[in-house]
Amino acid sequence: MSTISRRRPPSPDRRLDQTTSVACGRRPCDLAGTGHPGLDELLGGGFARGQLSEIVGPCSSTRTGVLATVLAAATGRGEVVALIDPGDQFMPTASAASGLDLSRLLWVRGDGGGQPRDVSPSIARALTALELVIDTDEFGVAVLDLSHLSARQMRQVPVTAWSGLFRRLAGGQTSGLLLGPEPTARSAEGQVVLLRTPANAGAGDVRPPGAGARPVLDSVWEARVVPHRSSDAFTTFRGPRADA
Amino acid sequence: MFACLYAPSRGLAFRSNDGVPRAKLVTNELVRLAREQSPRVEVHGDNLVVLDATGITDRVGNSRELGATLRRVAADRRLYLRIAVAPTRSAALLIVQARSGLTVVEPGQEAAVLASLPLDVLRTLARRQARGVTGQARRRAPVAGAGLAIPAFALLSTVRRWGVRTLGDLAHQSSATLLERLGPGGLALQRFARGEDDPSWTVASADQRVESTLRLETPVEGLDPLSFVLSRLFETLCERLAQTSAGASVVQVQLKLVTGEIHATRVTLATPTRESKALRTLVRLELDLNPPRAGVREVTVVVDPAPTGGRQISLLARARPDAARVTTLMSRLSRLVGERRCGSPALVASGDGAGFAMRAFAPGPPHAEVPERRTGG
Repeated sequence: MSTISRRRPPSPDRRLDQTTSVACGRRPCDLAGTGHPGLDELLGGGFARGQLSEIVGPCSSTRTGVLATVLAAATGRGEVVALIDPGDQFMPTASAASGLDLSRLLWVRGDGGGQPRDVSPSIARALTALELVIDTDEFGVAVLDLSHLSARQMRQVPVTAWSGLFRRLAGGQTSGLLLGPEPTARSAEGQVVLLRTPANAGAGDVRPPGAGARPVLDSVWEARVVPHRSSDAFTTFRGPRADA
Repeated sequence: MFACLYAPSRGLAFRSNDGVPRAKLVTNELVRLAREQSPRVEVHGDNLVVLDATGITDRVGNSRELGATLRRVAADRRLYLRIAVAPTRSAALLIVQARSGLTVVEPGQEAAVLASLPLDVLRTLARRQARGVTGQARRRAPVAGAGLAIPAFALLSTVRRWGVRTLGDLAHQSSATLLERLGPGGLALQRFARGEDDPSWTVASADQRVESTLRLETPVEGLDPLSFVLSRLFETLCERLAQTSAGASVVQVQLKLVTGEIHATRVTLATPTRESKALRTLVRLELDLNPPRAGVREVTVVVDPAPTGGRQISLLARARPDAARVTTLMSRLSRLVGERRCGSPALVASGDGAGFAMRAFAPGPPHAEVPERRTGG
């Protein structure tokens, strides 16, 4: 008596786990260009769509400038973008000067007002707002700006919050971006751009042997891209200010 | 081009020989007169009617000819009317409050004509509209075009304390100052004083309104079961809207409670849509904020239809965001962070050059397309 298997054959594009998927082999349409040639080259074409990437660095490391360039490039392509800004730090005037089409920007502002001791409600609201934005799948880039928080406060965000974002982003056209002081989300496929000021360059800079620095243009700000969590090889690059 | 017909309320409080209020007879006469010129007619309360003559100037003539025609027909019917013909509806509505006879405003001149009018015309219009809406609702007769930002008129007393006396004074105030001190309502007030129409306004003809009522055998308690009832009503209404290729621009939900009270909710959409799920979600979000106080015995949904824009289909241009999804998203975000904390920033003139104002998020078509994304190195 033959046994009829009811199990469906596995789909060729089935992903077993986020951590096993590899960022290689992406098509150009799966990438959101940053608008900065050097950064695009580092990232292999841009930030991945359907993934959560991070732009991290200390204060004055041009995080906001890089972000403005990314958003301006997206609106230049005709996309709409969203910025969840619980710290209310976004400056429309400066961003408009860098080419951002403000009419295509959805800006969700937080209360601002300094750094309260308990930031949990503010972060929870911001995460909920980001989830609502991602669920529409109408935005090319959705940014959560947590750069006003300290690294300690960022670590208080439960890991499940980030994994929830991964699931919502997966398969969509939205490229999720997180701004913060240090890598936090631990996204498997999203890329992490580490920024720092030139004054700190050299101090504690760990370079793997053989992976020499590839100077881009100027030494105003530095970026280092960690393309994949499982990759140990990383390279330090120097580039011009994105908002210059 | 809009024409506003207003019959001053002399003797309108009386009733005719057959017991019908004279105000209602005059309003019906005004609607009849306006419909002879244009199919798009709005009733803004008792004895105040606006007709939209946009796009039919080849039939009704230019603004002067339309005004002369309206005056002649009104005189033939022994109606004493004030008539204002203006490029915008706001200007026509305001001018007719203050000017007797026929006033014709040429395109681009509305701000100059309005500048000399006293600030009181705004208050007069708001009161008249509020009274008209209430009266019409009491008689269960449809009222179209009651979409003026009446709550914004509560700010008039504040503006008056600043020494603003005329619409021109208000129009020349700094937008940044008004936004900072009065919020978005201040900007809405200034736009009205300048004679600019709110882009979200749509002409809703009274006889085209779509309405559906469901009387429940058992009163419904709670919002979840009420959502099912609303789903059924909206599905029916959206099918009727689809037959006329229209979408809902304003949705009004009236819940008759077991206590006899009427719980009313109104949702104005940025873009007309006929997606029943989106409409139900928007109404549900409103009801979450202001839930009914008792069980619901009867549900009535009234929809103001408006032409829907066709979806952009182009091989070269990026598709615009889905209007229903964006509207739902904005409603949810407003509930989460507050209405004034989400939207699009717009630069405004200010002394330090860093001024901006929050506007509703309504992305238009992209200005220019750039080449496709980079392929990477």
